[in-house]
Amino acid sequence: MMRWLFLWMILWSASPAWAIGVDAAPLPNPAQEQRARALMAELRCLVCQNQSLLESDADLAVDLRRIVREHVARNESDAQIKAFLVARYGSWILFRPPVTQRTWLLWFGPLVFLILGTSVILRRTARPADFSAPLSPEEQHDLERITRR
Amino acid sequence: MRRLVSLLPFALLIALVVLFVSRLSDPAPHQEIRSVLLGKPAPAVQLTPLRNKPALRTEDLHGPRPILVNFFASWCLPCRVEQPQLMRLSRTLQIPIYGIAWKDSPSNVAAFLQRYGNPYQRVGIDESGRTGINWGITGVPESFIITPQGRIAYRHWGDIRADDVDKKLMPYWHKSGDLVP
Repeated sequence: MMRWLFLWMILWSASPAWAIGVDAAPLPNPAQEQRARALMAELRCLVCQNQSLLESDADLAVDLRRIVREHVARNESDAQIKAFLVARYGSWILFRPPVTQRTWLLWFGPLVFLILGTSVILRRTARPADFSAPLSPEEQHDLERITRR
Repeated sequence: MRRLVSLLPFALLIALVVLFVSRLSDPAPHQEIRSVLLGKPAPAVQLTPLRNKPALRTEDLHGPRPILVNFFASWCLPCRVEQPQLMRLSRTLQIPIYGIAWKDSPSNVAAFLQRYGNPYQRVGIDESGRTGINWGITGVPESFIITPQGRIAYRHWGDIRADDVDKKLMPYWHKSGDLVP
């Protein structure tokens, strides 16, 4: 009984982890706020660079969240809002960089390596090692040379 | 031949490891994030002026000389550290520097300039921080070289050190023929 209570308490005390992207002024329209938060999760915090705008506590992130909310409230599309930020900060601010000539390797590199690696493995295991055939004269000669040593 | 081919994945792995280690141990990663505004016209500025100091407006960013625009703040420690270099640029080397105080208040900026010196020919305060965001800054200090045509030629991330002045900034003014030797 105590164990379950204890587990429940621990899980409950972790609930503040959900309190991300909470600023003084969320958008009054819940659907818009939801859309803004979804966008923020896709944008990089440029100060704490592996966090999203939604997660980061940096001042710049607070400012950029406010900007995202303003643009969402003006009914701009996701593409427009991203373009606004990319024009100022570059595609680095997007967690998902655009698929261009320069980023082709970034996007498809892992897949290419997976295919390469798989083909290497398949080629090795698929080669049947046939030990039952008799030795050819050269192989017989090599064998005698080696074992005589 | 088959042995060479079978070594290929291993060689590729080594090449990747070398690449990753060399990039990860790069001491100045922030410098690599080049401003996307290079070559573009300097964005407009919307700034609160400081009392008794020449204001900075968008039209001031069009020459006739190349200008250094310096984003700073009274609450920023590296900005205090770079003040002597800015004073040197401004007083000794006669480079026009315009200051933008980012996310700061008039009283704090006035006190800061009083205490550490004022290298700025023009200065303004970006109280909301929006001008800074339009220039793509991620913090202070950051400095920009603006051509006489009003385009951004160079963005300096972080504080300006003595050898930055000699190696990165002054060459621009010398090259543009702006300085009388």
